[in-house]
Amino acid sequence: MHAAVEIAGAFAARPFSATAWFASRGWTPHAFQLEAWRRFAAGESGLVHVPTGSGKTYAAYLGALEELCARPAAGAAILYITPLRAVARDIELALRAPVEEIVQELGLAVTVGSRTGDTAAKERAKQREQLPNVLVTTPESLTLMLAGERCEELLRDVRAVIVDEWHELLSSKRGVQIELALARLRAIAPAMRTWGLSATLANIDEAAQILVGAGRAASVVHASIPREIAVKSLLPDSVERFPWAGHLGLTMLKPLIAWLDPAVATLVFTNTRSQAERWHAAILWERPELRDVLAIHHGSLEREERERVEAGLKDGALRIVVATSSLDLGVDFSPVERVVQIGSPKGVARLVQRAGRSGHRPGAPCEVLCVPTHALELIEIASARDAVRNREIEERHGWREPLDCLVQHMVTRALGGGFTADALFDEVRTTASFAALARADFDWCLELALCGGRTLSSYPQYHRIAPDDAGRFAIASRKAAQLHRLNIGTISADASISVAFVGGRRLGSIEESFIARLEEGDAFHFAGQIVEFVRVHEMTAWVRKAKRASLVPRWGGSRFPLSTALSAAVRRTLDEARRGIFREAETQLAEPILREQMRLSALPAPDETLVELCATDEGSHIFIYPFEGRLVHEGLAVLLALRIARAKPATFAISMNDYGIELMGEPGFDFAPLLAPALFSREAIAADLLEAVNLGELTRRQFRDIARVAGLVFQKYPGAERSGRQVQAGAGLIFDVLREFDPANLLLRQSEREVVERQFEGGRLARTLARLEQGPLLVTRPRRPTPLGVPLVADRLGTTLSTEGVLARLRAILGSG
Amino acid sequence: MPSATISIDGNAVELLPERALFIASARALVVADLHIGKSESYRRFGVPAVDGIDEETLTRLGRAAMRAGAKVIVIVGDFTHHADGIGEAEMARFADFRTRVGMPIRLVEGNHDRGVRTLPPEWCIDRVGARFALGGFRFEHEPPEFAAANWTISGHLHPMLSIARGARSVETPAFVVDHARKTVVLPAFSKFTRGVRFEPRLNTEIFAIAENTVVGPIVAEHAA
Repeated sequence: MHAAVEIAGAFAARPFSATAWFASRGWTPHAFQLEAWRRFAAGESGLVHVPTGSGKTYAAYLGALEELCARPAAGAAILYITPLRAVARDIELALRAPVEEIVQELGLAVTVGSRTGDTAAKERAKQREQLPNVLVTTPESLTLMLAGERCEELLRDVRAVIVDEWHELLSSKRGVQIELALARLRAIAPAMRTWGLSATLANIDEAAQILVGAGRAASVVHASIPREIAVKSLLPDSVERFPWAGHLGLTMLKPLIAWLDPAVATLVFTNTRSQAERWHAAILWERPELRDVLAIHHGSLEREERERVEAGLKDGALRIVVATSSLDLGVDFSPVERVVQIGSPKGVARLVQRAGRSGHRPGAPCEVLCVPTHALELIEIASARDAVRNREIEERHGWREPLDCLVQHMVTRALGGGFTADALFDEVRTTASFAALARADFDWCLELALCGGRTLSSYPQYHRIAPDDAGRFAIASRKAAQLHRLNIGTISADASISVAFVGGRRLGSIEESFIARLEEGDAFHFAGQIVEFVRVHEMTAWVRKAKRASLVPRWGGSRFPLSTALSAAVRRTLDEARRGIFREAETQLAEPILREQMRLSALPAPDETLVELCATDEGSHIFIYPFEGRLVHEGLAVLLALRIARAKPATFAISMNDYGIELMGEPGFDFAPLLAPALFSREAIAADLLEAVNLGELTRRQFRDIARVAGLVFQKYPGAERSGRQVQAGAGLIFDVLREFDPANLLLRQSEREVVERQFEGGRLARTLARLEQGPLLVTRPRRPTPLGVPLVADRLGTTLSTEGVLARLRAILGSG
Repeated sequence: MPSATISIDGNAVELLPERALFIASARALVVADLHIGKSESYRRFGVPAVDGIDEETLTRLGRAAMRAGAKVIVIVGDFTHHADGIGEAEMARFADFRTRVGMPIRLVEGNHDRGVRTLPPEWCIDRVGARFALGGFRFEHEPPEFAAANWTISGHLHPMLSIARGARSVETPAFVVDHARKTVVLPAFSKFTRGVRFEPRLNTEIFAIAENTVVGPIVAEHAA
């Protein structure tokens, strides 16, 4: 790819100037672009913070390009890292534009290329000899390059690394992967500067610090391009027949269909894949003539299908695309005019980002149309508008010491030229994530990479690295090298099986648990098609086309929790309602429901937490509403259930949503005397939570990903992919067996730690407990579940926490029958 | 360790918490779905599976045979998991088991056994084909669709009782006694398995294993 612009024997006639190049195109640089170029030239590293809109790529890139022209390099000088390989090609074209002119007018040879999973083998072979000067790549491909034997030689002239969408990468393990890769690059090329591009975050300085590494100076360049964001909503005529709860509600389908216009390119965002399937199917059912211009896009579709949709959106062939967050990023290049948000956006930054996809003229206001699916979402939408107006954006935090990533990095380093333990320890401690890493933990990881740790040491396949006489670690075998290259990265596929037409193409993947419930002939919506289940064979669910279906697959763990910023805004809205203020159209519509809530129970003042005690035929209920999002509530619910059930063996059904929790005990169980500060004590919170998550089901979910990233379970296996997948599906079972036969296994410990930390959500759970401990609690005794409580009762998904044994529980079930 | 005794066609049949069934008249211990070597075949695919599973399986088998006073063991299919799973360790482990438990073992072939063409001769396992009869009972790995003249004892499904009331729920291995099909389905003997969930229903009794106790019969009325 990079041969096109090479001119032999050329050298600099006059320097390339970003300002001049802008002028030649009739553009005027923004202040933030000028500032970014100046700071780059001064040798600084940092973050370019651009709320929405464009111009960020050139802000980070042209400074580096100026310098490259002044001081040409033989190999890679500028690395541009994007989280989405689908847009690598578009970025490459944008980076190539100024280069074309440099070649023609200045007679300089600058090569531009890309290296992603899609790069052809021939091109890759060429890159093993020499990399282009400007290289677009993904976190995974960058890590693969670092796992190359000659990586030091190939990368020693790198002067700038640009990380796109840092706000998105930051809070995932891919962010940690980048941190470790950057630490390595800085060791290879000490003069390298790092620049990130980020959308708005509340903790932008922290994000910059994580990017540039612990203890290094980080600059932040703010782009203050004011762009107005209009949050509109599609409202039902009345709230009477509008459901109180349920996130798949299609009540607003008809009004939305009336509003959609295939002449105007529109993105319809949903929060879950199931919701996307359901809305896509419903729109198509009502408007079959849209078949050719309507499409669906989500992360469980085959990659070919997703790329077809992305291309269709870009060239205008597709007019309406129903998508999940799989399209949150990387559609900068697509001419989308309108954006719809189905349901509450659950976060302010997400809403701003999605709104930013609309209308592509710079400076033009962007607009998003929110479509509530149930009554409580009316309140969330009104609150989100308020938060957007006040620019109350969430924080995002990096991961602290995920050891599975470190183990993977060790094997990568063993492949990429080897390492000594002391030097690697010092190097990884230059990252923010591992800045405080204890040597003992480092050594444990080393042991795991060396021989699989204590439990697995008798199996040769876990001997992945080996020291030579001088104590330098290198890869242990060719097989270990091959397996590692295949499995690099931190993105895990779900425990899923693929779906394909009988004798035809693959559509995507669905979780096993959904397929397990199907019988032959059951029809369901998937990948925008209606299909009928035929059978499962060789880990594929074979399907054929069908006419009508009512089922939609469910994918677990895909719902966003209500963010801190939005939950604060929701509490504010409810407080206004408490005082009889209904400002926005949405809250005015929801007024009857909020008044019913106040009639049956109450709405809390800002410093209060509402607690409802209620008895039904089913049992005795306690509802607590901290409004802190479902993740925190999940942790809170199991913690409280454990503390109550510890004194006397008991079993509770647990339910949680973004607003609160419900515990249900036996009829007659009295929760009232337990509502003392001790119940909410922050003492022993870590130990209690650990005990609770182990009683519950939370740790199991975390285990599989950790085992995979640490290289103990493989996603891809050479020559045996099918069997490998078959086995992968059993990770939950392996977890159970490990827990019974090897409870001290360190992988289990890490999954517990991650669950607890995720549940803490940056201390959010501890802050929630503090608020409950200090009170005041507003305790009411409604005679039946209230508008806030009904969704919890209706949405009970079968989580229980029990300190009773199996036999005691079974006897209680049978005895009362 | 309390077991449950039921009567089938006038024969006393004991359901043992070790996940085995004992036919007193024939002194036959009947088990299903041992999946010997499953963890080893997982390992070959690169998944860490801990040691000690087969050992536990075999210890429990020996204990059940001893406790019941069996003179023959009938395995109703899926004795092994996969040919890949029979490595040196498995060979040695089972040979060792055979030195302690010497009674005849009859293997009714299950779907997993078909992939393992020959078993080591020193294991002394008598492969009796897909069906077998003893003491007035039929033995067949997969439960038959329709009732035969004699009662059938099967495995294959790895039945688990799944029952809930209020906040409490239980999922635990179970025997299923299906009067319509005249079949007893045994729980999987191996603990390294998942299974099919059963709820009590008409004409079917379930005997659940909870903490080394067999609890039952659990009938349709319990599932209200």
